[in-house]
Amino acid sequence: MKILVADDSKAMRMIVIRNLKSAGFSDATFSEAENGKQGLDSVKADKPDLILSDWNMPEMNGLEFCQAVTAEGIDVTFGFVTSESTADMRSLAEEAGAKFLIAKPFTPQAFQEAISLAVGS
Amino acid sequence: MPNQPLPEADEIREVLHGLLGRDMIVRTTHPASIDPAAKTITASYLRDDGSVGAAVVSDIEVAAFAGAALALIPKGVANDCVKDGELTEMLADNFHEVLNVASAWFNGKGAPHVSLGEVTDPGGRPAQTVQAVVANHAERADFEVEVDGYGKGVLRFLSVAY
Repeated sequence: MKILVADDSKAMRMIVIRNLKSAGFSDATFSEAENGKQGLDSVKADKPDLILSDWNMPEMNGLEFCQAVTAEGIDVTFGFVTSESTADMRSLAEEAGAKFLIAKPFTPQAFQEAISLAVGS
Repeated sequence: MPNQPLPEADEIREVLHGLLGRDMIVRTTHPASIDPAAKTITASYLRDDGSVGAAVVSDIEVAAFAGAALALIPKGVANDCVKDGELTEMLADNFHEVLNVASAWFNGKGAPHVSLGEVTDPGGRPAQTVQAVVANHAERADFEVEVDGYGKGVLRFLSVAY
């Protein structure tokens, strides 16, 4: 499984990847992006199975990134990992094509549950 | 509207364990006066109207050890930072992310929404806003945080009367 983690914080990318490994994805191949634009380039080149993206990022934010992936018709499961999770954000995320939104602070179980549901649906 | 809630030891231990991937010991400790000369990292948490709702004052030890543990940086590097009273850019960035996630502790329970504001480094003076919070807070909770394999320090959470 190929997983792309997009976040402008290197520390948070490390934290997300560590949690994914603890959640049972230790055999996955991980790639990283610092913003949505870099993420979109990476999606086109590497064709990941799963994208986990922050919401607030420079250049292209997470919502624009998700919308661009959907507009390109790329078949990938997209989920957000965000500091905030308001009802408005969840609604915007869903409209853009995201399958889930995990709010910080999170646990490996939160990843495991959200990804299982998204991939299973 | 209620003041910002403050975290409890169990919540801190669980969240830091998730962020750092390390076992933690977190104990409630009696709030002692903060030495103005001590090397601390301070963070303000701002309400949506721009006013300060809460603050964190962390010993440099907590920032150095947590920042190092997060990226598996050797203990010696963290100890050197404590000795020098300065964090490397990577340790500071890592601890900034911990402070960012900590905003979740101050939210909920009917309190106004807050997000991370200004973070000061251990070499600098605490922001005036944080000094004001320390001088005139509504509630305060102090914890001794021990990062397994690294060391311990004190992490202080303060809320402002709404």
